[in-house]
Amino acid sequence: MAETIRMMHEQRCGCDVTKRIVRPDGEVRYVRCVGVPVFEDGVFKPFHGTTIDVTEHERLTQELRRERAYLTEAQSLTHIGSWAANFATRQNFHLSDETYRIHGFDPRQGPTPLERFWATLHPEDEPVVRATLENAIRTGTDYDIREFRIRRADDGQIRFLRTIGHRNPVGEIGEYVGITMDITELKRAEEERERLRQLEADLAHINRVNMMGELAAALGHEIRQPIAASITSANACLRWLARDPPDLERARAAASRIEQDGNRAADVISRLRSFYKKGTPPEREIVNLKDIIREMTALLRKEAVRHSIKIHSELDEDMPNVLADRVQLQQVFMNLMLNAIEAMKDIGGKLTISSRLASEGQVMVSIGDTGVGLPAENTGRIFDAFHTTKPQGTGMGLAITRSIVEAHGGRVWATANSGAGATFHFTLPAKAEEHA
Amino acid sequence: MTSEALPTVFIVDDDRGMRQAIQDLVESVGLRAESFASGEEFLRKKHNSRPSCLVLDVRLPQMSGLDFQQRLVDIGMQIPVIFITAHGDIPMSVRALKSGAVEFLTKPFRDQDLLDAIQQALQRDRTAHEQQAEVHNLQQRYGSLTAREQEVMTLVVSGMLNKQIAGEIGASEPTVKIHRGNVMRKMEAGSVVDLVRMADKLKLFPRK
Repeated sequence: MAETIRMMHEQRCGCDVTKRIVRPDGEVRYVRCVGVPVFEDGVFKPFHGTTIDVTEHERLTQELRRERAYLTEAQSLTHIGSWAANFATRQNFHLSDETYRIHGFDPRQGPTPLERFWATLHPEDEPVVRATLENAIRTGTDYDIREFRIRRADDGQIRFLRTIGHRNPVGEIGEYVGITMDITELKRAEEERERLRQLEADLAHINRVNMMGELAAALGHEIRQPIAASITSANACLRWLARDPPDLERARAAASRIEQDGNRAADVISRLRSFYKKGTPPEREIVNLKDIIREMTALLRKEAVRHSIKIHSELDEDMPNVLADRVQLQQVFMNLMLNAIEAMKDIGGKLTISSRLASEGQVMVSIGDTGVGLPAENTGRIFDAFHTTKPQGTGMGLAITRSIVEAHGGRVWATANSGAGATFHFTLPAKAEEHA
Repeated sequence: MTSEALPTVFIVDDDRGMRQAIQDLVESVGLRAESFASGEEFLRKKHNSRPSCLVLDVRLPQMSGLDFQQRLVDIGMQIPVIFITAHGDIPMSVRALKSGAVEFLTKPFRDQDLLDAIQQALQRDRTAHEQQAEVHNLQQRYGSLTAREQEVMTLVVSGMLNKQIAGEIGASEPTVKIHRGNVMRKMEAGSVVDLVRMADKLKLFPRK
């Protein structure tokens, strides 16, 4: 303060300074001193001035600065920038530091015109962003552009952004406040999750194949034993008969053992069937086929897109429901649709699912592809267990499909398309409508 | 030719149908057969040492066929083994054949394959028995020698002359001659070469 007064005297100039004072009771207050030199007829008279207590004002200013610092920090942590602009007049009122940084500008280099922000937009995404914005301005509504790309101004990196704008209700036309967030990392995490999901699905498939292998080995042993016994008994039987004279008594005993062992092999198979029934009791419920088709289409959409395959469905709107085990029916669709995709995976194509009411209260579903088509030979055997044309196939898919469809009182068959590919059809009895 | 006891085929398989079928097949070609549900059951019965062989299932409930074969070796029971299995793999068959199995057959097998293997196993057992009987006979003759005669025999087969033997045991040459004559007579050896062969079978040669 002393310095200020000395300078005022020397230069005969005024002052406007804010300083701290300590009052006799020890309290610190901020004061603003404004002074002007007074001249009367060119003669310097002492200074005139006022002193204002600005403590409250100063406190608010500091608080504002602090709040602003917190906000900037929060934005930088979350990669969310805030802004306020009038898109109609191309003015910006507020651009937070983070908004600058998201686009690759340095906030310390002063204001950047809105045009330069526009220029960072990825050329492929610019039309969509512009159209969305123009539409929002015209209709005076809020907008949310969930994903678009920019090329950062500083390092040229491609980043994924999301931006949300709220129309300022008291402002002029085109006035918006909003946020822009960098979702690149989020997107990467999501892609990683998707990759893991795919991996899990692959693993599930491998497990299924392994399980089939173990099941086949265990079954193989159980069935091989009585078959081997009956073959040996048959050999013994032939030898008793070939004796001179033939030993008919022993031959008869051997033949009766062959019968026992044959029955034993058949029992193993029946036991297996009853085990299956025990393991999964049939859970019949009223099922809407359209729902299942929609679910399975959604589930396999990604897989189809990956192989450039379009899924097309032609569903009869008035189709009656069926009484079925929902999970098993999903399995049928899964098997047939995956087969169709498999048949087209190298060439792309179209998967068509259609459903209609066939004669005699039967619902018929057809799943067609434009793929490699049915094998020229053994077409009748494709539904047999262990029959496969695929290198990694278990040969069980169509066999299981047939077993499920038949257990539901339906039928399954395949036809060659007039053009490329094949179509698999199955029928299920329609659930009789019970009008209340 | 002396008429030898009827060869016997023992069958160990936990599957009743299988062991009945094998027993019947074996009997249809005129061999004796006995079957057992487990290795323990087989061991409980006393077996006289007629030529025999064992048809053994690899997968048995308590002790696997391979382990059972090892146990037979451990208790000194020499019997040729033919393995049968419903799901054989190569390492398993290698292990079985390495430990002396005659054959390793996968069910279902050709009847002739099993019967051929059985004939081969019985022949192997017969040869082993003949050798054992001969050794047993030689051991009895050797046991009838006096301690001095056994000493002289060891020195004779090691290639020493009478004079050297006399020096070795501190006796006169004519005494050695008498001992030597007794050895040849009691061992029923026609020549020194014969005696050497016997000593070999009796494992009289000192291990080097």
